[in-house]
Amino acid sequence: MTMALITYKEAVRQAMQEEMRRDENVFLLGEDVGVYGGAFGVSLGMLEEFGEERVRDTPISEGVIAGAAAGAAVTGLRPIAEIMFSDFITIAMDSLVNQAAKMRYMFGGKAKVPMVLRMPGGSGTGAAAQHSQSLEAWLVHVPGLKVVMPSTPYDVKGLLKTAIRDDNPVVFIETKTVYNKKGEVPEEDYVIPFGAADVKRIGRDVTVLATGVMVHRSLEAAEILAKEGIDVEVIDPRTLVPFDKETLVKSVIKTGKLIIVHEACKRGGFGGEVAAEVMESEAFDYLDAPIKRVAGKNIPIPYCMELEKSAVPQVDDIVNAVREIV
Amino acid sequence: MATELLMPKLGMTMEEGTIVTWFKKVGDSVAEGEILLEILTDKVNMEVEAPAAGQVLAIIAAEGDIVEVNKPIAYIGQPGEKVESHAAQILKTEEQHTAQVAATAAPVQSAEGIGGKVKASPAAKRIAREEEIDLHAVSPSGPGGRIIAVDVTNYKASPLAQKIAQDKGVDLAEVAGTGIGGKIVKADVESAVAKLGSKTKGARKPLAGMRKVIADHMADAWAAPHVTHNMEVDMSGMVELRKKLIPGIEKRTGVKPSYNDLIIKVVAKALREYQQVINARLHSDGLEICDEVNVGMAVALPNGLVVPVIKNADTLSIEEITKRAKELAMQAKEGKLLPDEMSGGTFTVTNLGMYGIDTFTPIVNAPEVCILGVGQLQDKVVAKDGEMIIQPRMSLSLSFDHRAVDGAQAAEFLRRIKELLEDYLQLI
Repeated sequence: MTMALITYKEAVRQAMQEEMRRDENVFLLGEDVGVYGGAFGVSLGMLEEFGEERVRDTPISEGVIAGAAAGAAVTGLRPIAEIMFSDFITIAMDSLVNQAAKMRYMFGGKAKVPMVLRMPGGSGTGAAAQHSQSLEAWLVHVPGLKVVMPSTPYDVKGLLKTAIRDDNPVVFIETKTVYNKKGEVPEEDYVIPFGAADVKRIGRDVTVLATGVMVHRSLEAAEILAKEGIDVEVIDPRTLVPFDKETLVKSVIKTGKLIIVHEACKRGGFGGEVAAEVMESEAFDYLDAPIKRVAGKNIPIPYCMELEKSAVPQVDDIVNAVREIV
Repeated sequence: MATELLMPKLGMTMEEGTIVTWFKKVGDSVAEGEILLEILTDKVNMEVEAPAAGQVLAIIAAEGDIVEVNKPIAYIGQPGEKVESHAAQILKTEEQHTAQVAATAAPVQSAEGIGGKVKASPAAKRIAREEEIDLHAVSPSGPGGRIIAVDVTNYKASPLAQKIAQDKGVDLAEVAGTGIGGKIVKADVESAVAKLGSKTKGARKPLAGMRKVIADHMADAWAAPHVTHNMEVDMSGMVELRKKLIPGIEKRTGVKPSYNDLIIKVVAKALREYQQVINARLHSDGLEICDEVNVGMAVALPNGLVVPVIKNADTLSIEEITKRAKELAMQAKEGKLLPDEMSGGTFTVTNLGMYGIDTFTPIVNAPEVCILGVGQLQDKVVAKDGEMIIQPRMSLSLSFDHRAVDGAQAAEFLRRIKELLEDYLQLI
């Protein structure tokens, strides 16, 4: 397999381009995705290749974006809709939650809603409280939605292709702080199935389950801890819905200890769900310490970049959490 | 300051040594260079000299102990001198240990939580349930006085009991504890050890010294894909040759040439001819074609097996091979082979003929690529020119590492050995 070293952002773009070349029903819509090339430059050059019909700039209305995408999907197209910041999902919620997520079920399987709602999430850019949130827990809560949260260029490309080929609405949360992170990606076509976690680092002493940028921070923390003789296993679930419980349970049975790391606020966060899944599983009898969550503080993300940092987990926070329970 | 005597590293591959005999005891005085003890390394017994003159202040490793290389085994110094603290630590008498164990037997900290419940992790509770241990008696070491898994595993036996059980190969799960709260103490393990002797179930002894080397080496060698070719040889010529050679060689050297010596001579000649294919060693980074023809001969000992090597065997006469083979076999039996005399082999001959074995499948002595198994010599009826005749015959089994040698190449080599054995004039 030939591998190319490309950024996360390029991997997203390649996935969209390759799928649009493969299937003429696939198209992209969103604010500034065409002429401007996307707020983060993700769709740069796509308007030139696919034209205005298939790369559509929309009005500044997330309600329209999600509604149009759901409508297009149910009538036979395969839209990729971009929400400029995941924070704006609030405006798209009705179309997404009450329409897109429900149609296939309520029409007895006669309607399909093959749409992908892409959105960059997370903090770290100094964009303040309305442009920095991690709202995946809201979406995970809605039956009928699949929720994907890739952390590396390889994962994002393979998972986005799977999302586009899926006949159900998929919320695809991109991690904006890793848009420029490079990684090896096969040049050949490949897809990554939903519901398959990836063990990013094999370890013996403690399991760290992390999402998004926290995967990278956990791996960094693992290297620091390795010098102290603590062997950390890092698992990236990659898709929150469906969730690969089996890989996690197997790991916890091995290590007896679990730390869940996410950027979103701890209260009501996805970590609580993961912890409960483990407690209900056969891994319970192997737990040798309380499950720990390392997550964002229960506050709006501050604008000041120093304060912003202290509101979400950093490498040191993960290192300390591991030291406390190992 | 006292001089530390370390377990010497006597070979590139030596990682640990076994103390065989101490010739001195604590309190004895020794001269520098005096033989202090004998150790068993990878297959050889070696004598170790005192590194300094003085009095033996402490002996840390007892006879039979296996010690890592460069770890202290004794201290020599002036009478009354104190040995270093870490040595002193190890030197604590069993009585001290026992006292310590007794002191820690009572829980130092209680894991008692609200309402008399015990604070323990789910894993600790599972182990306690499986092992039927009362968690109230276990000392917690987890945060906030929580009993964690390791506390329960440690609880079952005192540290001293654990150590003895490990040394003597006793399974703690089968030992009943008589200590506080059913704890397994030293006496429990010792009585279990005593019982083991009368039970049919054998006591486990750790693979050590030569046995361990053989075990590791065999497991490594087995990784090679093995194939064995078998061929029967007419030994009439060899019987005749040996008869002719015995008087002269015995007169000059005091020893008689054996069939094995003749076979080594033949093999060495064939190896020179097939040097490019057979006289080789396979390493992870490639096949080494060896210039020297060094033939190893497997020598069985009561406690294992060694393979001393006859170096440059192709340049030696039958008489020289006979002499060298006898010397090496004698040294092997006395455990006096030097590491150098057991390394550098490019091929091995292993002979089970004296046990009445006809044919077998030897394991290649890695990194060598071939080994020749020699079966028993016996008279057999064979058909020759339409007639039944009686002939002394012998089976040869050539095992080879199929990664390095092809079946046809090995067959050709074996056929050449047969040819040489059946027509000894070609040896001249």
